[in-house]
Amino acid sequence: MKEEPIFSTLHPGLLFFYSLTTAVFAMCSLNPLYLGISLMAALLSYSFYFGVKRALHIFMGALPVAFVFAAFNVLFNHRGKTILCRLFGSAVTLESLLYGFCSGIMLLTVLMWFRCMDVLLTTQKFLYLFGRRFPNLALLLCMTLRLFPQTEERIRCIRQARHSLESTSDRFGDKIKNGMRHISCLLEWSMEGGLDTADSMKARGYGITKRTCGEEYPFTQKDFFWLFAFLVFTFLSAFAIFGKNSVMQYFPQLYFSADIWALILTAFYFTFLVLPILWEKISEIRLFWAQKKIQDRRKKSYE
Amino acid sequence: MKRASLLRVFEAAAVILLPIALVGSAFLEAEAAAALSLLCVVLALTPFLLSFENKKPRPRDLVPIAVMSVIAALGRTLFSAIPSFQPASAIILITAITFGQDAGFLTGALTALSSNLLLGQGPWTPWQMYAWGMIGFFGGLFYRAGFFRKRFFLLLFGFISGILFGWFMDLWYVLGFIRPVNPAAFLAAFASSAWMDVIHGISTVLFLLLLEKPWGKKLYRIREKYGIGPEVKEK
Repeated sequence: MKEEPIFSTLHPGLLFFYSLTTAVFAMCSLNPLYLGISLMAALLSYSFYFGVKRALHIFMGALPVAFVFAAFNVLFNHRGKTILCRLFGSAVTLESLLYGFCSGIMLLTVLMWFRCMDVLLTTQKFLYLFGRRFPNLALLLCMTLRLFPQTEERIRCIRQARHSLESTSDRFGDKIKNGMRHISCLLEWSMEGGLDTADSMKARGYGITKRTCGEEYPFTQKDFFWLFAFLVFTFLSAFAIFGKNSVMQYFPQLYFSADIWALILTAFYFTFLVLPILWEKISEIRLFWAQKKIQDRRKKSYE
Repeated sequence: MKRASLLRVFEAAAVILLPIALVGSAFLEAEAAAALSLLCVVLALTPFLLSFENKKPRPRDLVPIAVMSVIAALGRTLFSAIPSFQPASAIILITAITFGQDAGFLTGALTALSSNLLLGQGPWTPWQMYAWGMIGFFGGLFYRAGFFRKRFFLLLFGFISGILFGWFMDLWYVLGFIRPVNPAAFLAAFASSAWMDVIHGISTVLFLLLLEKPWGKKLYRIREKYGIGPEVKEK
């Protein structure tokens, strides 16, 4: 993963709102027009955050799931008018095949949006957002996150310490026995260590005042501007997805319609989904021109 | 106090209403069923989390929950090569038995959340949080009611919970992605995952047999030594 995109300098609340909206909109659109737009934007965003290679990898990996969903639908859903063939005495219809395929693609899209959410909304920001309202749950989450690397380190220590004491035979029973002993060491160690920490936190006055956060994210004027932009875009996209400008009906017969308004709204929807990329690219171009200007000025002064 | 009892009512409502809401949304053929059913599950999770927040636990009350869920999550990732063979359910059950149903619920929910940090988050995370949370919640509740006095019933509960977990996780894709939802679709989904669910149940029983006695003893000792857990608090 490359360095943080400029987009994630926004206030965490805005980032939460944005990434949740992208996923929920994808979940709500079975219309192939909006689904395709969302998939395209998800692929673009994913390759923007993680690189093209990984985007293609996840896409190819999840594509079979779409086919499985299509097969599942075909086998148990016999509605629809266009019968393709008969399988085990029941009809296989084009409608249910397409429906299943589209839901599979939708799942894939939602999945990619969730991954992108991970990049934008780091755990630190998540805790900043919800930690003050729910201090105990935030502390619990903090403790758990801290315990992961600590536990790995402790397992390594326990293994080293017990290495010479244990039989090194490859017998299954011995391995289980050793593993059980390691885990029980780990359990005691983590528990007692954690409880000591918790007690000393309490002794130093944890929980007396409001919970604070390591990093502060003030809500600036820039965030107000973006909040406004998000609201406009969300409204237009919701109008597109839940409105009747473009209708896709699967059963009983395939029916698709889209008017000119649907296309205009779709353009807005797509812009909303690729906002982080747009912002990054625009600022890159601006940086490029600014640098060029400076270089030109230098050249002139040399001459 | 009043708020606590109100949240208890909400908890009970969440347990009872969730299946009704899910099945209802399926048979009414609501549009955007995937988003709707996810919303239902998230709503069902909230009263449990809120009632934990409302109780104002001491920092030391959180330690067993965090430690056990990390061990469960690591155990799940350790065995993730074998599909649905994992010790997480058993560990959650053991925690619930020792530290009570609320700790059990949180351990379950946190296990799902944190193990998906390693295995990949997705729309299924809230579903898993709820399913594992319920295993912990009912495990603790049944233990306090004295159902597990015979060890056989604990193992039986472990086996059944493994299968019910699988069925609940089938729901998330049947409700969201298969249309129309009819009993045949449910049955097909349950049948196609039956093998996995049985493995999950068996692995839970195996890990309960292996871990319940030694870990139960250890956790009991920690509970008594540090005064954590439901019985101690009431004094």
